[in-house]
Amino acid sequence: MELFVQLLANTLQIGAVYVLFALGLTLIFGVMKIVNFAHGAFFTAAALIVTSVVPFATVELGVPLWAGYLLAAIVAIVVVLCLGALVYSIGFQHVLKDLNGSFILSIGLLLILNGAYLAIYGGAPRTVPQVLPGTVSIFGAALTAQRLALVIVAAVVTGGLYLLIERTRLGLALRAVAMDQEAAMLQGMPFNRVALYGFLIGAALAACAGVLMAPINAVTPVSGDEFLIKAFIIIIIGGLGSVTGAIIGGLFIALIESMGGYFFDPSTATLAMFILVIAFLLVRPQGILGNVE
Amino acid sequence: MTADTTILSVDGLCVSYHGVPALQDVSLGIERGAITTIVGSNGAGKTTLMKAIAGLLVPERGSVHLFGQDVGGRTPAEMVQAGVTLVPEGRRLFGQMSVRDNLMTGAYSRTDRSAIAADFETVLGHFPALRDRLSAPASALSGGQQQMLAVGRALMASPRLVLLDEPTIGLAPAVVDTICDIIETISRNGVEVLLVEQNAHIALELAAHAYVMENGRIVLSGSGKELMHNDQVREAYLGL
Repeated sequence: MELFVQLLANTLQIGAVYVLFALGLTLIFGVMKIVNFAHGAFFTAAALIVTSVVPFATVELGVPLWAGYLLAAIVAIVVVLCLGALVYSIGFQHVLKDLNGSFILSIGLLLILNGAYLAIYGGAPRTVPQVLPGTVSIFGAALTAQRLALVIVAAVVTGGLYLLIERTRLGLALRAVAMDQEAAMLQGMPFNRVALYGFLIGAALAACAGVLMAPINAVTPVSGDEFLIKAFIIIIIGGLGSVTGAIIGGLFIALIESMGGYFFDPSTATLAMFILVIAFLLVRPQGILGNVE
Repeated sequence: MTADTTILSVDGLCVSYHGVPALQDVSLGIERGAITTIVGSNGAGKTTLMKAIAGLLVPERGSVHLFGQDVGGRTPAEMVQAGVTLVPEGRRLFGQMSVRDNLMTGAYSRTDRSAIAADFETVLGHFPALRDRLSAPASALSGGQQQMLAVGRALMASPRLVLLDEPTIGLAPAVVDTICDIIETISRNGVEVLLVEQNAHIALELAAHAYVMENGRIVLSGSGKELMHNDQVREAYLGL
């Protein structure tokens, strides 16, 4: 029982970040019909910003650690939103619904941004002090308070995104554009603006994931890239463009990672994920919740 | 045509797809209170014309005037704002979205909440069959119900002119009658209707004024009755 709860807790804390990351990627695909290979760069930017704002705020400004982290989170999300708006206006808006063009653009962007991060921050892993010290015991399983907070925040953000998509006028437009862009335009929905909002929400989700991850894992200029690969696995399994699919897929991959890592070893878990993706692509290429077009 | 009774006038419209002309010098007018129809065979350019009026296609030449105002080059969103809504061929509903949400997409360009709620009730009054299915995904509806939903979605924009592209295609005869009744009701309620149909019987019966399109050109026009008795039309489109 204790082991089971521990593994479940591990799954949730790994999965929480995966879900946020994959949600952004799948949202951008759904609305713009492009695959953003530079999505990990948003994540990395946010995480790196946290690693420099937290020490600055606590040492130079003398604010408490939690306040410094909160400030860092806001700065990181705002900067990533600005970065997102910039790359959308000079790049992505010209390759809407263009898989080849967006592939070339986003790979190039990824190389530029990774190079820029390396130039600014150097290659050494950067860390943030523990924001929430202590552990919480749930059914005998130990969970650091920090990781518990991560899961809660990720769940709140995911819930917020769900409400935005299901209950608001913008969400209605995002769904409609994702299902049939031309029909959405005929209802008076301005495609370009809806695509921009979808892109910015996706970037903000990646930034949230980066902010949450920074105090837990060491951050490097390529931190986002491994998440990108996992996120692709997740949305292939969950269904490209499906929000619920990204949530299910994210938790599923996290489950494989924590179970496989415990009972076998991490490389077996990674192997299992890729085998799973191959199996999905062969048997059910649209994923668990994807649509056949 | 006098300006105050002309809802829409299209003059010398030319549209090409990749250099291939789809519409050549098309001119037509829609008069207040009268259902207007365009009949023609597959590939005659009817859908292209509808898309050009709705702002989805940018014409190379020619002009479109709505209530006397030049609306050439406007985006679909601007045309919806101006009061023109297209019910596209094949309905193009948002299949996984609920019936309620599909109707609400039609009201996207409006912000008057109470008027939207009132129109929602009016639309359900037109199509009582939809009321029980509001939470069902649109794809779960029958073909006839889907067409009703497509028309209802367009009405949610509170349009002054509705463009209907092949609204009866693939529907059972009894359902076709229902759709025809609805088209007449819409027209009686003061919304102008431009109807494109392959089924010339239906179209000519409903319409006060009709145009015949062939190979991207208007080749004939007249009242619905006139065209119904025109030998050329009888042979080519009515199979008589």
